Amino acid sequence: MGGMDGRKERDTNFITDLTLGLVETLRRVWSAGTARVVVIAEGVAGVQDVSVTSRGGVERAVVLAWEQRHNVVMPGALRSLYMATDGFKLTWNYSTAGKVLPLGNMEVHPLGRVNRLGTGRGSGDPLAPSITDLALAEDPPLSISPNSMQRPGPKSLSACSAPSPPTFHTSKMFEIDSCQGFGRVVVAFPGRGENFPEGSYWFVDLSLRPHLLAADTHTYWRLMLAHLGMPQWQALVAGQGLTPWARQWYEVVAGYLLEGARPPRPAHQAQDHVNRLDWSVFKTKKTHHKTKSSKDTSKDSTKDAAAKDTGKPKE
Amino acid sequence: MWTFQLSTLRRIRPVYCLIMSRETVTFAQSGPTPVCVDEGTLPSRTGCYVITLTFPQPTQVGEITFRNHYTWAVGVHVLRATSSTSSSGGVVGAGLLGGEAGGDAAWVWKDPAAWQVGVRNKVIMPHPHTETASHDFVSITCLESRIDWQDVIGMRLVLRQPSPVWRTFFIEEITAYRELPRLPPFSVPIITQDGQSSRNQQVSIMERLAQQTKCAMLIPDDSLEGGLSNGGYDIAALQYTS
Repeated sequence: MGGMDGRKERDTNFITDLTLGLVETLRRVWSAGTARVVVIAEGVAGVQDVSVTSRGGVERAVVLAWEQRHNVVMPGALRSLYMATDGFKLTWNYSTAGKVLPLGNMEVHPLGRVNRLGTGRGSGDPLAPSITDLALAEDPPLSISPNSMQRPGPKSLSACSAPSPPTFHTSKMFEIDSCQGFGRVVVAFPGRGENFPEGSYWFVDLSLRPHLLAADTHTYWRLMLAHLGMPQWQALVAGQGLTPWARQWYEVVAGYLLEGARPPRPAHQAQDHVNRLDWSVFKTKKTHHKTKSSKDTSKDSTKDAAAKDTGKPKE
Repeated sequence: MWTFQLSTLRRIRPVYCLIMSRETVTFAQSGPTPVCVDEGTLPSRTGCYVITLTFPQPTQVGEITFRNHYTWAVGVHVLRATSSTSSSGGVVGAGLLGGEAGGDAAWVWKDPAAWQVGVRNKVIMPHPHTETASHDFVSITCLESRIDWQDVIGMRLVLRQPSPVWRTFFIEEITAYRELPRLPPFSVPIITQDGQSSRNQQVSIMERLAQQTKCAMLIPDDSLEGGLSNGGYDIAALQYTS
């Protein structure tokens, strides 16, 4: 019995660490009611039903198998996340005017659903082109292709300055979130001749155009937490604009998010001020997972390491 | 801006056709075909469709017009008869649909690298989440294209709509013309992207007429050839406001 309680507590601690305390904050705000509102944002008082789904971690071998199947190396932090919990889902509802509305949603697919977008092949049917067919015409590969000779090269010039977005014929993009049907979040790996960061996170909108969200897992995770999993936050970060429906709820729940992106801190400053998630703590937990007796210590180490992490940035 | 001008133009189309009938190009149209990215799973919602135009023989295209229905942007991909296929003298496009033409043509159709991007992504609806310009009459001319529209045997119109607000989007009434429009450039009140109509809409009709008459009298003869650049009668605007 005590073991059960301890386990529950450790899971809670894990969630708290993983979400940088967001779950607690959301819950506290709600349960405190109007008398003692802990303000993290103006008007979060209607938040309720904060629900977190975290599953057991996947074995290292499963991650390796996934990597081998797709011939990529998963970003270290993302791998640590999967070895700690196979996917992640945090939802919350918002209660206003007697109605309860499902609003918050943060999600990372279980590893089994992390599939590649686009096959990288042509459809073979000229009247029903695949996304790869379109991409081949829009961004012809740098090699071969006599057609590209005729084309003036504004694209190749601009490619030198900013990282060009991933393409559906050369890059590999893996969906980790389907954004409740209005787009996709992918983790992308550059192919030959592409210069965007390996393992960067992109928002692929409904019209299948990628927009950069974050260069690494830490940044992506923090963006997701900072936006409370509000609807269409990915589109907001990507500069695609919100639908009127979503904008209305931002105004009500977290208007400050609409003020635009805050400039990212310079790297040296971030070292001092930003507490970072230390994903490596989950590895130890996973290593001892099979031997059930050692779970307590590993969970404690998780907690300790995470606590230490908030004080002293790692990695 | 073109967009709005032509939507005005459409209102006077019958007159316009009497003045100068233009040669249209015939084609077969297929689609819109959805473009998906996750083929393994259930077909999910997509904001990308392709309409393929198939021309029975290599042809020159000067302009394409269509009416928008909630499409955010249109790209134009062009398939041109290569030297080898055109020398084989075929009904190249018909080879695809009819199936009787030679293997060369079919091969070009199936080669994704043979398609070239003429217009990458022409935004025809400036704010995808709101109605503005969602039903405009749109023109895309070969002058906007990065490649010539000569010996065209196929065109793909790539329709995109990133906003989840609109359940369906498409374009309709697609027409292809062999030549560029030979209209004098006219100055209709133009709604700029922020929704403010430009200043000259406030001018009364009489003032406008007087001004235009004065301008029209001043045209030097040699400028008629190149089009009534800044002095033409503002036919469309009068039609619109009367």
